[in-house]
Amino acid sequence: MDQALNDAPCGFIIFNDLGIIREANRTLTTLLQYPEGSLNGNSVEFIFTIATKIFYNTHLFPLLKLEGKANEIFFSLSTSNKQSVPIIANVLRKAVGKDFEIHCALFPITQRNKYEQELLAAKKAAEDANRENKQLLDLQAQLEEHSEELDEKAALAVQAHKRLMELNKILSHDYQEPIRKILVFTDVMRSSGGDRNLVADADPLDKIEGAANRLRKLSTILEQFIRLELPDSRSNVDLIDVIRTAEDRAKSKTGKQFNVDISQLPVITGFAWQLEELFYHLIENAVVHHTNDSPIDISIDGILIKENLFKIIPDRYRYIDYLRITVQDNGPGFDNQFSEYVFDIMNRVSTENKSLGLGLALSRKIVENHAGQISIKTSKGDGTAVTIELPVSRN
Amino acid sequence: MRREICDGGLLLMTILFIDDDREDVEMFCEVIREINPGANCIALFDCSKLEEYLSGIPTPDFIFLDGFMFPIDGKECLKRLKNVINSERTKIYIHSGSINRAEEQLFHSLGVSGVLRKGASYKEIRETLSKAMTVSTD
Repeated sequence: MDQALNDAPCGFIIFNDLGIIREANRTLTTLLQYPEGSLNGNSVEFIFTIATKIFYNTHLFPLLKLEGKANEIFFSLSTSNKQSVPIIANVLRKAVGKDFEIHCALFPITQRNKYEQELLAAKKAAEDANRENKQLLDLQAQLEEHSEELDEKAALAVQAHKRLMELNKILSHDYQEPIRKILVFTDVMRSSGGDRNLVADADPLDKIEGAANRLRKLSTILEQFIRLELPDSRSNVDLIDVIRTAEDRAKSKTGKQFNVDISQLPVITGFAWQLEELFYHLIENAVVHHTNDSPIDISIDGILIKENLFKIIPDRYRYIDYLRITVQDNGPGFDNQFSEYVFDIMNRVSTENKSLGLGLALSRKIVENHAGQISIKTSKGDGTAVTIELPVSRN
Repeated sequence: MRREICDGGLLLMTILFIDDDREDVEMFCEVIREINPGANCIALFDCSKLEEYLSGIPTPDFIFLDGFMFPIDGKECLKRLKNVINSERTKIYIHSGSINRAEEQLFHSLGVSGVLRKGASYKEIRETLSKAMTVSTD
């Protein structure tokens, strides 16, 4: 081997098909910590690691026999003290007389190996981060789910408190009034033998009967409210079917003829009987309060909108499909300053009719049971528009 | 407090009931006339046109205000009354069928002369109204 090749800046080795080393240059022997020339005549497998032996016999040697050369082959060599040295090799198999020789130029890549370890470490770190990120995303999804549940429960708690206050008002005031009336008129009858009458042109017995009937109606209201507090299961509800049924019921109850124009409305997830009650009360309200002689016109339209699912927890947003339904009538309307007030139970804006102030209170309760919202826009003489927003699908 | 005595020795006074229960008002006015035949008992059934109404009647000596009315409730009505009524001249009582302690305190804090429960018998009605008017005229 000439001087230049012997001290070339890469290892160089020649061996035959049997693996017997003919020559190894000084650079290689030095790299592998062998005395110069000591490898000559030995099997090349002497300087192979176990993995390299397997690789050489199963892959590299067959490839050399087939192609005659192989470049940028990566394997490891073993030093005299069994340290592994990573190598990149360009290998050539050439005929020399009847035999073949294999010439290898060997480039140690200990630095590259270090970078590769760094790359592998970085890759592992990225994978770990990715896994942790996935865990984080899973936790985030769980948190989101729990937040929605929490928000729904908080909204229900707020509603329950409101309902409790309303029921308290019924029991402490609305219930007390007819009881007091019964006591007063009973006392009047008892103390004067029925001759004395504090209310002109009225029979005290009629008054007692009226008060008792009011108590009966109040009991019905309480029953309906409590029924809406009971657990229920959601199903797919065809709103047009529900509205038509409610319309028929309102016609039967009021004995009045009217038309309800309904635009296309989708099937939504909800409590079927509650939604029927909702539209029944809204339609009945429009009919009962229609005091002029014009025909009663009611129209029901719906559009899809995006609404934030979160109603209570601040700074949380998830926009889902809501259906905004508007129930518009051509009735007398009322002063818009009472548009919130009318949703509280037993609240009425007119002393003229015998309304109990129940329909809109029940309507609000039903809408809230669906995690929705209800509002009224009205003005005297211009009819009333009740707007309801209900989630299209919510489990 | 200014009072005019009529021929029969009766106090001439104007008593205003603000109450959405017309039946109650009719009863209370009947009792008021029995207590004091010189009393002018008038009524307003809701507070929506309160200021306009007050400008068209003699200044009331007593106002009995129902604490629970609609659509304008007793508290809101009381606040509006306080803006237009001279409290030295007119005594305002809350007069309700039922009232709890917290509501009573709230009405007191709004400056009423008293919080009265509507009587559940003729005797109770008469005693309640009579006492309120007697205390205030002393």
